[in-house]
Amino acid sequence: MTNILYSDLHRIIKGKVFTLGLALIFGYTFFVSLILKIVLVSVNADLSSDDVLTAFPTSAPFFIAASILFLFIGDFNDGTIRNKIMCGVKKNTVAASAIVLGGIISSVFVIFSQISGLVVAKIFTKGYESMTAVEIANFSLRNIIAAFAAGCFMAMILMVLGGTKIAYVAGLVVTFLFRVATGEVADKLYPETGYCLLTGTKLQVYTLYDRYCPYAFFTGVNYHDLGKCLIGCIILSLISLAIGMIVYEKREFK
Amino acid sequence: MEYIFRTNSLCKKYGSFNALTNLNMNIEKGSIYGFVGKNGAGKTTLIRTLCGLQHPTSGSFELFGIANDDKKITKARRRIGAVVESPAICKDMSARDNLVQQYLLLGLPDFKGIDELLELVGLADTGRKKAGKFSLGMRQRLGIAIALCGNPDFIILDEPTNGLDPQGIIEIRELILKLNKERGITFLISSHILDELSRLANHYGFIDKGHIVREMSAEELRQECRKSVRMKVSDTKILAKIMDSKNIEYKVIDDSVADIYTEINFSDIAKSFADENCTIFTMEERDESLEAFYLSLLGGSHND
Repeated sequence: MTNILYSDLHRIIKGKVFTLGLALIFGYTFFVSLILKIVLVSVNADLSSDDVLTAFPTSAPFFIAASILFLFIGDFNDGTIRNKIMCGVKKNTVAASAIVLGGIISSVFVIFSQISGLVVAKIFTKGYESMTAVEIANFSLRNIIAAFAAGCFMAMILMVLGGTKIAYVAGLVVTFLFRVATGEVADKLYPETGYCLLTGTKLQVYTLYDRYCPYAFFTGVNYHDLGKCLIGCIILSLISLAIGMIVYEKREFK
Repeated sequence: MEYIFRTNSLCKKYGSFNALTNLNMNIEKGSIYGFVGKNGAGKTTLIRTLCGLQHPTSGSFELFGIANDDKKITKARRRIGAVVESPAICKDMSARDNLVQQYLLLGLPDFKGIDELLELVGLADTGRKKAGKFSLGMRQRLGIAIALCGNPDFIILDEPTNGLDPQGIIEIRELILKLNKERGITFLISSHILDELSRLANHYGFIDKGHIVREMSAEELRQECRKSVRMKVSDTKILAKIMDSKNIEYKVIDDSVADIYTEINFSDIAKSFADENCTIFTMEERDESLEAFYLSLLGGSHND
């Protein structure tokens, strides 16, 4: 397992997509903050550090979906996935490596986005007065573990669909659906005006999603319990790993 | 006789289509096994099954003496190197990085052999050039270099000269012969370019419609394909008598046709036949090519 992890990591680091991803994250954080700064200054307001820090994480699920697809699709297109099996690596090990690495790379992207956010916040804001160091750490940690789970989940979809064109569509569609669900849940549980009007099973389902679904953690709001986030992320990562390994073991390659 | 790979009534079905039907083949250690068959005959399916990319529907095979349903089979596969269809290379990496990638995958302790491998396949001077910008021949050679990582005992090459220019074909051929001779590596080479294969292989397996029609050594094939003179005469019994008296090697095909395998003096032969009152209707020189033999083996062009 460690051999294939090393090998896959080597391929990703040497590839263009990873470097391009890091550049995009910094560019995105910088330009979104710059535009916000211009807009806010024009209305006599100022940019706060949490606006900068949350700039990337709110878009992270789509970025993770796209980057994981682009990072791993090459394995199928170049035929290197077959090479791994021909070298005596078990199919389920190939799947496990891709899924775990999908999680790790997604986390690295989010860590880099947080570092970029801190740097850009230093440029465009007066400092981190709107968030304490503990809040920043809590927020970052929550996003990092959520990114790991989302990365595992996306890599699983890709492995199950076998690098086909459907994988591109499916990954982005699933992310979009999670995004819609997250918006709906947040809207109903934490309405901007008034109180939450949900009751019964619907309230339980919405609360469960909000507390445990990693896709619900990619928000600019800092009210999630880190322990529950961790449980939700571990569950999604393990489910992704199990499905990926079982389905992949039965797959045949052309 | 030690065998690297043996199959026993191997079958592979895709729905109702039988890609492999009771296939039996034997690859001897140290041989270059030419795997010959038309497109769709089942060559690549067999290779995919051998490499673990696909599961057999029924039957079994042994790789290095280990059965396909033995858990040790994945470990046995570490002793093989393969280029199936197109070479499996990372296009946005240099040749060296591709080999580093393979070394990491195989868990080899250091990268000492990489320069030697690049030298061996003639890619030592490619520097940082990305494999995606390589010519077809260079990619093929890089694929072979990847297959050679970890000093495999058995290399499988599926159509290795596909799309190569004549120079590339010669280079690949010389490389295979060198590896077979110097390192004792066993090769399974599938191809439908028979002329090219005949310059390499010392064993052959002819596959058609998913089963092995015939396995033979290069010597047996040479015997089958050697030069001859085909004679159509009024009586092959008289022909046999004349040839026996002249100590000439021949083979009677039917009552009126026979093949003569030695260079003959036509006027002398004609005189002997006239003396025996036997008529020669036709005499034609035959040099049965591998292609002709192959077609006759598979029932000619009506075999589709």
